[in-house]
Amino acid sequence: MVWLAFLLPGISLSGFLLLYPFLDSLRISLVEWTGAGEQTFVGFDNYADVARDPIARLAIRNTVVYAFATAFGTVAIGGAVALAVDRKIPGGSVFKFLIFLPVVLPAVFTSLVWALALDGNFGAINDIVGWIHPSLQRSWLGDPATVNLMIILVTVLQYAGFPMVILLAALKDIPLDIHEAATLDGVSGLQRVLYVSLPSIRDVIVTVFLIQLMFGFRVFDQVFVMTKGGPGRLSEVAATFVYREAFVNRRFGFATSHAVVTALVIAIISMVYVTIISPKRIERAG
Amino acid sequence: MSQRHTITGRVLAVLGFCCLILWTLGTIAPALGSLLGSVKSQTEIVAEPLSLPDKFMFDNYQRAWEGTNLGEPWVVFARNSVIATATGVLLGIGAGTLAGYAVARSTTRLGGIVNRYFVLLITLPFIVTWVPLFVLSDRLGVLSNPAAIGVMYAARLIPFAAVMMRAYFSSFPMDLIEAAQVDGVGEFSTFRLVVLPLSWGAVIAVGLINFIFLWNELGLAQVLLLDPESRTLPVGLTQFRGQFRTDFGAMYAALMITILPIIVLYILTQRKLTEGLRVGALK
Repeated sequence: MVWLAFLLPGISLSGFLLLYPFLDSLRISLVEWTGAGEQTFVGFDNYADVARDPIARLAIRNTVVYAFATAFGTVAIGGAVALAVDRKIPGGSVFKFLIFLPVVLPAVFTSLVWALALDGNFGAINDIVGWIHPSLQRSWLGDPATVNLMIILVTVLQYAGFPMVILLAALKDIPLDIHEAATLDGVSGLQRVLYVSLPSIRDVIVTVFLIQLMFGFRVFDQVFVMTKGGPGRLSEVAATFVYREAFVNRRFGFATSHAVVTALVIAIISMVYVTIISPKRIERAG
Repeated sequence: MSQRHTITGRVLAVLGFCCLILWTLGTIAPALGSLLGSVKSQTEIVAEPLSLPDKFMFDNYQRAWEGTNLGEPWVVFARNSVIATATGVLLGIGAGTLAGYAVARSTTRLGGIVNRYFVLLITLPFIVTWVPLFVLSDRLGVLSNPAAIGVMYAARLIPFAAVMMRAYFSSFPMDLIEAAQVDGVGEFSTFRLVVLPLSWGAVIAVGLINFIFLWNELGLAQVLLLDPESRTLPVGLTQFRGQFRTDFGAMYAALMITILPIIVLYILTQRKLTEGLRVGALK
């Protein structure tokens, strides 16, 4: 029973400030409440409101699209850089150092600087595209055609270094004799990537994609800093929606039920992903 | 390598290399741009945003630190960030390491159940806890309290730290532990005198990753730290959005003050950090 003493601080602290808030959110999602005064029990009305509200649905859809797009972008580009660095291109360790650097910086910082650069009136990006052709200039974050793409691009630029580091380490773990055998058999560079390198690190790719997906589902900083959900509410994601409904519009019950629905959607997508893509992983984790 | 010898192969390789350089420039542009902006004068930033400075203006940093033209002194935000992050990392890693050790050593079903509990908490999206934690903080009178948010950060780290440390302790040499216990040393003393001294490397690697998470955290801080004087650095940064700035130099200096500790840490611990991330990600 000595182990209980080891476990007590961790279990009590996470129970009180993580598990209990989660259970409390299920209760709050069933009431109507402004945060002060009376809480009125309304059953599943808040959930019905979430289902009816087109912005609430758009916020969840944007979150899912953002998560998949950034996971795909970071893994594809991080993987390409990892393959290049693994093949001993000049300056490989410098590229690795610089591309990983923004991964450790605050997303608030990166998003803020890019928001200034993408500004329609004073932004540096318009100066640069103006050299190519002035008609390309626009308010990148104010234009419905580009806003969500820009949020995704800024995220991929910042975080591609994470899959790069993980995949590079996995590539280095591939036994050298496999590559030598392939070379002796006359397999070309590109074929070796497709038929030797990528299949060997398949499990790692699947895992790092899942990690990026999980990060993507939690998106808040980028949208909160760059667009606050605008223009209109076109770039709203789940976290910015919950923040606005709870702490600006004071609809605590409605906001919380949206958070619960989002959590459910994330859980279902993650389970489907794990079941379809990687049956091996479940056994190991279970 | 055979394709490198054909002309198209060589052209493609050069093209790919140029793309890599462009991409790298894009990734470091925010840090580089802020560094430039933080040592330039206002007129230079507006007239030639992409040029090198004529003269280094280090007093931008002084204005940011003291809060001239920015509203709040940046030193206040930095202090709050240190309080919240240090509380979160020390408490979270401490409690998480103890729990991870107990789970790794446990031979009963309890260990498996506790591990499942932590894995469940890791997958919990934080937004469901925003309103409940706001309500709880309000009741306890700890809204706008950087130390209190530090304790909530600790709760967030514990499941991660416990699962990562469990993975590490599972491969800890058992004969060392058994040898100590044959000599009649209790579990606590074994942990403190035998296990911990050999495990600092792993503890620090996990702590480093979580330090960065907390230093950069915006969501919960934005929700709970209402009083301007209680804000952490990321919350402080959000005020630069959507309002007209007259002192860009001080703003960029404030950005640099926010990221410099992390850049220094990254340069000093690059290997340990990436290795810790890799092990943490794949375990």
